[in-house]
Amino acid sequence: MSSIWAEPSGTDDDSADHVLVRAARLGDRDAFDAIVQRHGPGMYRFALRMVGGHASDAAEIVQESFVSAWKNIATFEARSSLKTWLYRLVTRRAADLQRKRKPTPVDADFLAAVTPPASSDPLQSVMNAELVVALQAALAELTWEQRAVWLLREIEGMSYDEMATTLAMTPDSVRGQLHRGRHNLAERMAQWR
Amino acid sequence: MAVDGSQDPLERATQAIREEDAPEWVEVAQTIKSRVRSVVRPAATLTAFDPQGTATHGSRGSTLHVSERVLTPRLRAVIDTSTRAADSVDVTVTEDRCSTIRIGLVCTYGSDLQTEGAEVRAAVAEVLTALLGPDPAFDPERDVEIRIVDVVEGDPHRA
Repeated sequence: MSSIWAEPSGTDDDSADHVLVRAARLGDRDAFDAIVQRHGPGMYRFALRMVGGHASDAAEIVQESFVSAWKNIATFEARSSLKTWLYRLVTRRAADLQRKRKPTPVDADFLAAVTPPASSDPLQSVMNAELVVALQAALAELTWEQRAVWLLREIEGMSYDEMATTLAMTPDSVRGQLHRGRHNLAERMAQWR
Repeated sequence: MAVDGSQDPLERATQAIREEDAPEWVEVAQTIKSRVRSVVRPAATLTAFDPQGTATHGSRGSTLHVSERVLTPRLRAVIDTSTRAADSVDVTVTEDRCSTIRIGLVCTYGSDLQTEGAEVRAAVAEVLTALLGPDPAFDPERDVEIRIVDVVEGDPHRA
């Protein structure tokens, strides 16, 4: 059965989120499902890279984040955007997981699986796949803050203010972490030139 | 995938990551939806009354309570029409009884706001009576507070 919330169209992202949050606060689970569909893929992608490619950890983090969001959506007062609120839930759980566990190497299966979509040029596809593997390994060597800021900016497309809200940092601190993260990644990827 | 071989390797890898798929997401999303459906949000319970307005039933004085979780979606269902949408429904519970219901409404531009408010009040009273029976202390004219929080062009549900 298709949901009436499948496409809250005709509005920008924040307005569409506002409509969905309003319905979800009143107990509409279909509206919450639509929130999961809108923001879940990005949250999962972010969580996966924050935990070194361990898919089961990333899945658990995102599941717990959404369960928490459902329980507490009545308290969401739109002082921040829904997106930053949700990513903040993911960030906290990823940080909790990191504190509990010893550093683990990047998941080898994940590295093999992060092959980008096939290009019409097979050689190009292989090169891109190798670059992705190299980048994932380089990300794992960054500090937690540098990795989070870089992923939110470069992959999830957040603004500096959004990142600051998500990570509970100042915009200046975000800029500093991003600058260092970019520099470190560029150094590690330079050998691929 | 549009990746230019002349690009910087970090740029190329970043672009590739942005475009990659995570096929396992479908399964993760299903698990999330199932888990959310199994979550019971904390909610107050409301005392129900028999047709005579008494809270105790039968010779043994049993009582019946209805969760606010049952009431709120029912209220939302009768509030929502093509010309208005519930923005908020806040039920205040005092000593297990519904004491106030505050409703925020979004209405379509051009609709008669007085009429919309009156219809909502009547519909809310009807749902309360159907679910909880006639609470002698609850007066819809006094205890149902309606605020028009926005008036919009077009569909109020998409505002």
